[in-house]
Amino acid sequence: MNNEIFYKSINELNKLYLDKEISVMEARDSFIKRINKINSTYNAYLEIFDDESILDVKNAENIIDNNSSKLAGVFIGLKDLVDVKDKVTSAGSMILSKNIAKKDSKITKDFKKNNSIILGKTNLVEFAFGTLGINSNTPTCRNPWNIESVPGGSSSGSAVAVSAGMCTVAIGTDTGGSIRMPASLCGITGFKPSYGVVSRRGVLDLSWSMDHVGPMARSAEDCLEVMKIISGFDINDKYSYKISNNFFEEQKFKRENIRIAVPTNYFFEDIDLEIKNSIIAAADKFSNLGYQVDEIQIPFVEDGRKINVGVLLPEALSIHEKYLHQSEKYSKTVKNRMLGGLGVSSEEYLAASRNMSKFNYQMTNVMNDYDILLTPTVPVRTPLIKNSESPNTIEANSMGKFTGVFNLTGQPSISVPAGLNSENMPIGLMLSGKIMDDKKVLDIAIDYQNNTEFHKLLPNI
Amino acid sequence: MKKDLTTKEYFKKLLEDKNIKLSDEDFEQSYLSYRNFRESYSNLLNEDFSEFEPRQRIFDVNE
Repeated sequence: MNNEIFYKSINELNKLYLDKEISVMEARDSFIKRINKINSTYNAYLEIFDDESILDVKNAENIIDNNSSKLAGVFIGLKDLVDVKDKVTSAGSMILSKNIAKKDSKITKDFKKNNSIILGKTNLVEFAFGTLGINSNTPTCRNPWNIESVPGGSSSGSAVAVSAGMCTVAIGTDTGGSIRMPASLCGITGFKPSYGVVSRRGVLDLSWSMDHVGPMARSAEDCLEVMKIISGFDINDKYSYKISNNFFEEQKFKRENIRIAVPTNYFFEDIDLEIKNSIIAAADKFSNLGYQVDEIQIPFVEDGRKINVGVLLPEALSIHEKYLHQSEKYSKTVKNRMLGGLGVSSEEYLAASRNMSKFNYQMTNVMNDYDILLTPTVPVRTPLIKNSESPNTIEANSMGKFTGVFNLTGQPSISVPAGLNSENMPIGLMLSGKIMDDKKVLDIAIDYQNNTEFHKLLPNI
Repeated sequence: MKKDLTTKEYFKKLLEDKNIKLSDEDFEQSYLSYRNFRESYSNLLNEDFSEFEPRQRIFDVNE
């Protein structure tokens, strides 16, 4: 029994507790034992909350019944950008290595309130500024499908922890694809909600115009359960949006009424052939299930990555202004990429910002006719760690080419497993919906996973 | 070549202004990033907004 709990869904774990087949403490002990055994290989966690999680367990065991939250007793990993009171939030950096949080973040509070078990802080790219998951400041985070390969970033440890069965759910952040890229590379599901739907209070910023917080899990169904407890308006986060109380509640939809667009330009140009074939197969699957699937062209989307970086860089540099003179404390990859943004004028930043508005306007017009855009999550094969130290490799520069589009627009966007390539490495597909149509995106991803087996594939641990 | 050198010198000055010291290797890598981003920004500045004004509202004065 204990060996099977590492990949249980939230609902399955809940049922085990209610049927008293396993106690939360037994489950915790198994997870901690597994983490202690394999973390030195995968380096998913930077800090493990061994003692603290015992207290969480005691609280959970007192309240679990048919009326308690589904998240009670569920095992959580938090990206080390997320504050937990009295714990270090290092952002994977040397500069913040002694940065002890005075308060819990909003989402940490949500998990505690729901009696989830926080197992620790997960590894990440320094300051979340990178796509491959490489961070020379921290032990090297490795892809469970091939430990010589990068896990993707910046939420590398969160993706690896879920993929390697070291937690049930992890939290990531996403400014240009940092939830969805590592989810794709590690064969799990990662959801970036609409901008403002999850509070970022107590989560370190990278770019205030495009930062998002979201769940990473084995399935879209688990992502939905997490969204139900971490979403909602937060008066203390000026970027937080008001959403209705039933935002994530049951909504029936008919497949034949859902219009899925496959943009054939940009998203299918210069991409790996096996990725391309997997996404075409997924489009066929949706069509066979009864969805309306159309091929379309979105010419303006080609500017997306450029605008994403154009807004992100000056905002990131502005946040890092006070640290930059300590350049020797930054990892080479982050320093050499971030400093490339020096000298951006206010005129240039405003041009990027105005381009962002124009881009959103154009995307809204496209989404008037469609519910979902179906695309690959990343264009390239998973690179090896040994080839990924430079900030200017082809893979580093192109990895976020597709995901960044939806940080600009703030649309809900999910990466779900779509198969394995000939090297036995995962391929991800991305479903992106209309702004504030998060539930529909999750429902369609759940429907896809109910009719495929890709998300059930596991790495050899 | 001359233009490249000028850009490089300007980048060096930007680093000096911020009191940022880099090894030769880091300087070359950062400069490569800088050149790539410069190209992106020059494209962004040339964008045509003539047919885009999402906040513009058209009032019919006869109403």
